Amino acid sequence: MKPLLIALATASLLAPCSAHTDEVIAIGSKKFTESLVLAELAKRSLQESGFRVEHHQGMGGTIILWEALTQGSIAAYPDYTGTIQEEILKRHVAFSVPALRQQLARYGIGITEELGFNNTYALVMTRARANELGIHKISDLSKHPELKLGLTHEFLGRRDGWGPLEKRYALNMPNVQGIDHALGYVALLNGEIDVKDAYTTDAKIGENHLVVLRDDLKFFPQYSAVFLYRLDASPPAIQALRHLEGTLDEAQMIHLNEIAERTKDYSAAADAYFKQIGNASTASQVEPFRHKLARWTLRHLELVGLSLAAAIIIGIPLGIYASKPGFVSEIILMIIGLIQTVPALALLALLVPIPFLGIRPVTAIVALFLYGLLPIVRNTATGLRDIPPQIRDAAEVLALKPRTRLFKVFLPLASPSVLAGIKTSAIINIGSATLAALIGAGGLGEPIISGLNLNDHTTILEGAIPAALMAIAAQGLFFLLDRLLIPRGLQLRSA
Amino acid sequence: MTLLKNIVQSRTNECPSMIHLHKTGKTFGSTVALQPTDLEIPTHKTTVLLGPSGSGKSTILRIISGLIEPTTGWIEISGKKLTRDTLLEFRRRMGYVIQSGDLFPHLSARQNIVLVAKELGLPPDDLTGRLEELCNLTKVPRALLDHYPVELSGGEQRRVSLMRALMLKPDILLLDEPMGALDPMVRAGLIRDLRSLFERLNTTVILVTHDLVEAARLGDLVVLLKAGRIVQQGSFAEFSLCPADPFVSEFFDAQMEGVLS
Repeated sequence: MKPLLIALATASLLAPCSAHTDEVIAIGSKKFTESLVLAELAKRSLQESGFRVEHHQGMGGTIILWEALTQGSIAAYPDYTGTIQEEILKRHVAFSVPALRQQLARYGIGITEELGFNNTYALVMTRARANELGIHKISDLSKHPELKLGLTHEFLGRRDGWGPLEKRYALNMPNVQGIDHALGYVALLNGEIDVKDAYTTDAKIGENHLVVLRDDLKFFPQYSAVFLYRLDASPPAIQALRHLEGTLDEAQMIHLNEIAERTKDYSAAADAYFKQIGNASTASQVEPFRHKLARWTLRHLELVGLSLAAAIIIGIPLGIYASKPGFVSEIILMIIGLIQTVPALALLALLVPIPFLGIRPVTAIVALFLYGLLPIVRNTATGLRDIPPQIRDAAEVLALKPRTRLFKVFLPLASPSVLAGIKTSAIINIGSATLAALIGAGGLGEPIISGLNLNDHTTILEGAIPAALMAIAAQGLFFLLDRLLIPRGLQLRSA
Repeated sequence: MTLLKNIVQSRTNECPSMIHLHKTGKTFGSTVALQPTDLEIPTHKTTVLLGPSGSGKSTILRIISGLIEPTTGWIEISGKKLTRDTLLEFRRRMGYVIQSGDLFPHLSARQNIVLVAKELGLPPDDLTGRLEELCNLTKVPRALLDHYPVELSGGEQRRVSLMRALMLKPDILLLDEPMGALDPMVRAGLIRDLRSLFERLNTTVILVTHDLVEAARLGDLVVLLKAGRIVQQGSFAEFSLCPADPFVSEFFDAQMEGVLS
């Protein structure tokens, strides 16, 4: 265990190197193509101005990005006026950009001018199905309550999303289900759903010959793209973001989105943009796959290794304590069991707003640590509780000192169970750590999540296969550790 | 009856009582394991607590070893009351062996035997010397010392457990059905060896058993218990000559039947 941890610690120290300037600007993006492309544009523009930029790709939804921005984990991210008004300020009146600027200033956040295009929500259908049913505008849906709708979870939950829209149009559609944005397109083309939500600049609309239903009651607010940034960011950085103001129209954005999805590479879209405005000098170097793989794997090992180490250091003493029968022990086991029932994604989202955590790898490590506790605590406690009464009596009558009794007798006897608990924790954490990419913590989840966004199986496998191999390697490692750490007298018995 | 009592009385008067039960009783919830009992256990002799299961014989042993506390009465060892505070001091003077499974499975025979001595910081030379003595005393080949409990036979395990109990030269040796799990051949050998061992050690031994042969071969004083009460105590000969209660004859007959059939 020790050499592994040292290797991990060393790797984590060596990872951030080769800074061009002292200042590193962190920017974020939401979990969909356009947001990722806009952030790449910002990254490129900032690099032009001499900054070193870290782009936390596809961190999650609006709330996570807003939290990250106000806490300072990121300095800027792209968003839309309608989203800012509805989701962040929670107002139902249309604001102009200057009015938004005034409101946001209270949070220490600034806003650029509009980048130039309006990407509002829309409901889309396949052309064939729309023509067959004669549906051209949203109000036409009222005649077809049998239609199946597959909507993104964000759209389902928004104030300017499905619920209020259904009310406004007096629709009554019983078949509504939540589905991932990229997977929703697959479902739509396969005919498993009839209607889904989309963005008006979505490349998939043109690509798949989809029909946008006309918003005949003018329900959707304006969604003009802007950058939000921290007012305390350095002025040249803010200036770099503002270079992008008014430079993108809808057609151009659709084109960039389409490039990103076709090449599976967000920076390629940025290249196209900068080539167009006559500045291709900063075309990005494509990172070789093995470099990316090494970066993901090292980060993944770091996430799992550090969280597991913490879970062992805290979990074993807690398990020793919880092995004694009593009320407090039951409470400890109950609380730790309860943490385990919180879905990993929800646990991450709950931890993000906590001070000192935020959108950083340490948040993922804390979440994985909490997740890893249960198997270790429970196995330590049961391993100790299962020591036969004859052994307990013998230790008692021999009048061993409590220290000797614990370290020389009880813990060695419980060691197979404790090690099994640590193994379970390690394997669970190798799997759960792929979710860390959702809050920008990197690891093998990075290709998995961008693969999901792009609906690209190869990219998903680039993360999924190494993660599976890592789990298998962990199995092998623990097989050896069992041999090494379980006292020989106990191994003879099982042989 | 009175005659018998006098004989027993006179005999126990010869040797000062080392362990003394004063109205000592134990109940678990509503179950009475041991009625309030008076008993004197003579020094440097072997006392056999005899009886069927549930008679309270093991309860007496567990109270003396401090594993359980009596619900009524108290016990004295060498005139000193056994309490939570004096327990540790007494335990350093006790050795304890049970039927099976009391050896620490993750430690070799040698490690089991010297665990406490090492904790107390005895010099290695003393340990080696003492191990040598114990091997001779309990007739354990020295090669067995490096084996783990799982690699030892039942009889060997009991001998190693005995070595562990004797390591610190205890004044009191407590044996709870030490031969209960052994086959007859091994048992006969162990009884023979224990008999000579007890004679040489000059230790106060308390042996719990349900077996008449063990009582006859090993007991200086035999105490027969039934349902948490002492029925009769005396030498083995006195039991067969003068049973104090129909239960005594019943118990003897039942075991003799077992031997004959």
